Amino acid sequence: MVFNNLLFLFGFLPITWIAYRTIKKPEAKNIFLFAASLLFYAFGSWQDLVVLVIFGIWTFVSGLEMEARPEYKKQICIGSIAFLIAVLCFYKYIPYWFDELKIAFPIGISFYTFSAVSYLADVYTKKTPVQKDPVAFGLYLAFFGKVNMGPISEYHQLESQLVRRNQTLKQCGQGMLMFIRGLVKKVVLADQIAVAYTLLGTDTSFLGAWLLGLAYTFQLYFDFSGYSDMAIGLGKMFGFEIPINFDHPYIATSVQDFWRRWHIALSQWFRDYVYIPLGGNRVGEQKYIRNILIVWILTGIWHGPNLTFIVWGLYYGLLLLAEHYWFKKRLDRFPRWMRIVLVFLIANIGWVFFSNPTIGQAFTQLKNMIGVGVSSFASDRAIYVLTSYGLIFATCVLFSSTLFSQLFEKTIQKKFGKQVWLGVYLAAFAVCVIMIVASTSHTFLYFAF
Amino acid sequence: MKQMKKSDWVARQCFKIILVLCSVIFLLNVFWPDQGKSDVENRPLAQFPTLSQHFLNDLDSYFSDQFIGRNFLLNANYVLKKTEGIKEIDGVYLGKGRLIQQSEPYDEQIVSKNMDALNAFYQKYPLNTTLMIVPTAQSIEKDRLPAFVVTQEEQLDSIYAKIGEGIANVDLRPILNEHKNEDIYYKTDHHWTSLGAKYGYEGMFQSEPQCTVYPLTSDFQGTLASKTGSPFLKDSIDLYVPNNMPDYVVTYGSDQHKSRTMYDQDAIHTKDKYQVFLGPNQGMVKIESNNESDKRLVIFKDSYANSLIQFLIPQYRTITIIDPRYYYDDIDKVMKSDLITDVLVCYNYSNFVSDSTLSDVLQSAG
Repeated sequence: MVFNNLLFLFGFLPITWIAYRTIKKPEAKNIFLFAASLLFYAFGSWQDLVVLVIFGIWTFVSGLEMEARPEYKKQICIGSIAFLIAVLCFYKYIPYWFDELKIAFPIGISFYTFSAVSYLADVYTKKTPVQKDPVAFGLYLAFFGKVNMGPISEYHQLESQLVRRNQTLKQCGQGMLMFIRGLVKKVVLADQIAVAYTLLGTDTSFLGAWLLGLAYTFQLYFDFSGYSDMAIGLGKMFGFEIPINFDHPYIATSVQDFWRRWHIALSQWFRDYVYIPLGGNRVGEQKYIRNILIVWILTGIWHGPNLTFIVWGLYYGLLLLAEHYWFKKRLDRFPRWMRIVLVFLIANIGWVFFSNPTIGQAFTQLKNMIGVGVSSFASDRAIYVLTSYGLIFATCVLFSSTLFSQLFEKTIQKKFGKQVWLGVYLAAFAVCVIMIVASTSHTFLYFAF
Repeated sequence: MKQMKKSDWVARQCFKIILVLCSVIFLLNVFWPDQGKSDVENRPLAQFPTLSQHFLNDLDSYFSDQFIGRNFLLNANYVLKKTEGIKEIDGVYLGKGRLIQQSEPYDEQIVSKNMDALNAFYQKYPLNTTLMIVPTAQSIEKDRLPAFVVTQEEQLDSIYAKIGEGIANVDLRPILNEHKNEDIYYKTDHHWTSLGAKYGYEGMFQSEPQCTVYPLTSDFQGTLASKTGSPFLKDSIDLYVPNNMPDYVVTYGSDQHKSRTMYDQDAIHTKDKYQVFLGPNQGMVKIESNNESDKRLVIFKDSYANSLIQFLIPQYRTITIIDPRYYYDDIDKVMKSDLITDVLVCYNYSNFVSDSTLSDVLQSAG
């Protein structure tokens, strides 16, 4: 199931919350929440649930084994992680190479595999003790808020919240506001800009290529960060404090800054479990360059099997090195707005590789973006999309920056009463529900018998 | 500090209201009686699922299909989208004062296949053959479309260029453009009106049919209104009965039932009121008239032809109407047993460039 789903919003969520609240014993609360999470995940498919449960048992037992047999700790840890990564690779890459096999990709496996690896690594490095409560461990891996799309959340960040959590009304309220913000990002912005992206699919005009790039840039950000916000919001409603995953990445002032703001949980995971174990930056120059490149090629590979993702990862690896050694100081001399624009453009070009199925198509779009091989300056279709979706593009720009929250705080919070503020959130929720219902509409031209 | 309290108040209230709201709506959904079908969406709605492998998925569809106030929310979505400046919902343009269906993309392969099949059919049956591809509203009502929407001019020209020698082409663009400010297409449906079809007849016969107009209903909200959720627009349906209309009998192919009129008056009580013209889509319908004509027509057509046929009845002794999308029988038998003298292919542009069932039926001849 996903969060922007009627059965979730008007069934699963209120029932689960009320039942969870009604149960008094912490152990029973945990068991209930774990069971509800498994049910949530089973809405995707029963087969996926089997994979998740096997992963959970494997990781949990590996943790216990590491404690029971300290002399084989390293072997157990490496072997266990190798198995998890091998299964992940199997699902991720085998269907790509052998598309005739029709292997379905279990939802969220990229995310919960990394959560599992985080647990094993934390136990191995003694950052945290072994988790002996299977329900608490299951909740870490499968909590319905984060099982589908993260945030990955490192084990040591959540460990203290797994067995017992406080759940205050204030926290629930903050969670709800965050959830609604995420829902708006996903339903109102990402899903609508996705339509513009589809309309522009084959446009080869100069304007069309840029709009296509921009549409993807915003769609990806609002889709993913919206989903993360909803996940964190839901976490709060059930007493979890999951760290934020996106912090206005499109107003970053350097490439490094961008990656401190974009998919923070993934960057941290690679930093903590790959980059630092490899020696990080406390090594010679050659090794440092090697470490950066390894991390970024792996980041690319994690996103998908296509060569385009590896190129995208390498693109950022090389850019970060170039920034570190070469243009950081020059960049600092530019005014802030210019750096923001530059980094935004760099991100846009990156997404061109990310969004196209082949390197060839990515380069065709890039060429069109610099005016090479274009059909015209602006095709009718591109102008149509611009006039039709102009308001949504503008809203995306506003929401990507902190302008909106500043505007919101200055005008609505200060000038109007708290009732208006509340009204805005409730209206936003209603708009999302309307759009979700519309997205489930299938009108038939002739009655479908 | 005061600011903090204010935001906490908003957060708490918001949580309470939404929790209560969602729970109440859940209970309402559980106890509200389920609907069998949706008139707005023109389809059966999912029912409570039986236990199976797909139970949870089916439950999800059931819940969203039976969601309380669904039709109202669909209307609200139209208003929202229109306010945002969006000019298209689900393949329908929100034009000035009307909804206009987006044409299917021009598929060169399908067009060539259809045209080759028609030309070959003419070689086999060199009868009085006419091709009428009706431009859709996207082509004629340019002025009412959102700016920068692409029309069908070039594509129509390239279809016409493929017509073999001997086949008459009816290019309706001049006459329809001449009357483009009249209601030749429904505002809420993807079909043309009886008035539009009358101009179609004029384009074909170069003469104006003398008719009596009977307004049937002014409460028609067609397929485009359903797709977009538009609550405000409504259409009238008029019947144009030629003054020289003979007595005739309509035989419907599906069950061979007969009727003395091509107008199915019951349709005005249903959602799809366009079905007043010859009822729902059928593989084959025959009309036999009591007139002096010695011409016998076969029409290969989509639903656009249904409102044209009222004008054609006086002109032909018999009319055999074949909808290739639903026709699976032997076409040679029809050509021979019905003593066909004239052939008309009547499609709207959108179907002609995207549907290859015409070529399947025509090719089966031989």
